[in-house]
Amino acid sequence: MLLIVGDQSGGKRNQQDDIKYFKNGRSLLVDDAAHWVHHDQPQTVIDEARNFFAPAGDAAGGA
Amino acid sequence: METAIEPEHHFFTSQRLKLSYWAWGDPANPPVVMQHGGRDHARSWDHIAEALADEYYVTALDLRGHDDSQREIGGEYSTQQAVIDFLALVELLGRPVNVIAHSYGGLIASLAVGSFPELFLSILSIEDSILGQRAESEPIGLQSLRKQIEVRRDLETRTRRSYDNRDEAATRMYEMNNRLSPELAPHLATHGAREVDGGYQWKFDNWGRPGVRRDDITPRKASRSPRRSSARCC
Repeated sequence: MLLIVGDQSGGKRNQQDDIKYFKNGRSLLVDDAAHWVHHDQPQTVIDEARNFFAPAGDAAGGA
Repeated sequence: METAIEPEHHFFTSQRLKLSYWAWGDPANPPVVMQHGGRDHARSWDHIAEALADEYYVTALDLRGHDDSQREIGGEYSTQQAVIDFLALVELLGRPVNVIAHSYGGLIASLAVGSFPELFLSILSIEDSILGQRAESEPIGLQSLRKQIEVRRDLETRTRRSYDNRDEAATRMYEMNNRLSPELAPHLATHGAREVDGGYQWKFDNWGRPGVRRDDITPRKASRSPRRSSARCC
């Protein structure tokens, strides 16, 4: 689980805390982004997705 | 925004609603499923989906009641139903998936991953603030959620029982309640069943039966209470 939060979003503290409910979780605070991080900083989301996604065939441990 | 790659538009049926999803890239590539949040739509993902389409088969679901996905009759829009829709698309893809979700979509995806972890590889969630707030006050029973989802999905493949004639329907009614008089059972069957394809079927909707319907009002018996489990799911 990778949780992405925008630094200009209203509830960022609570949102980052959510990661404790997940095994293998980490969170990322993105600069100059509000609630729609994928609109405000699309390249960051694209890069993070490519790095994070497990190669095909891996077990669900990465979730 | 002008899009560089026009995605394919697909439809499928989940829980009797026709739902829309969009697809980018080669279906042979590893799958990514995207779930938008409330009052948004799948094409909100265009710029992300296009970029990932070189490596992945990217699909984006329109939530029920959003964009080209059908609206609910009645309009309860429970989160459980949204989870079922999401799982239905994942199963359609036929192999474990990576997920990108936003806001309310993050709650939907988290519950889907938590209750059916074997269908997922990883989840990237953007601005999901809802799960934690709920988990603090009342843990979510993921095993219970999984069972409820299985019951509702099972209905999609079930064939409705058909009786040859009204007398047979009346006999069934009498079997269920043998205090009925010989006059009352046929009367109830006459008004409770309708002719469908040469047979007779009950008019009541199977999806509204106890144990199937989403019922937040009726207290459950103690022995049937769902076991609470931790929301620490995945």
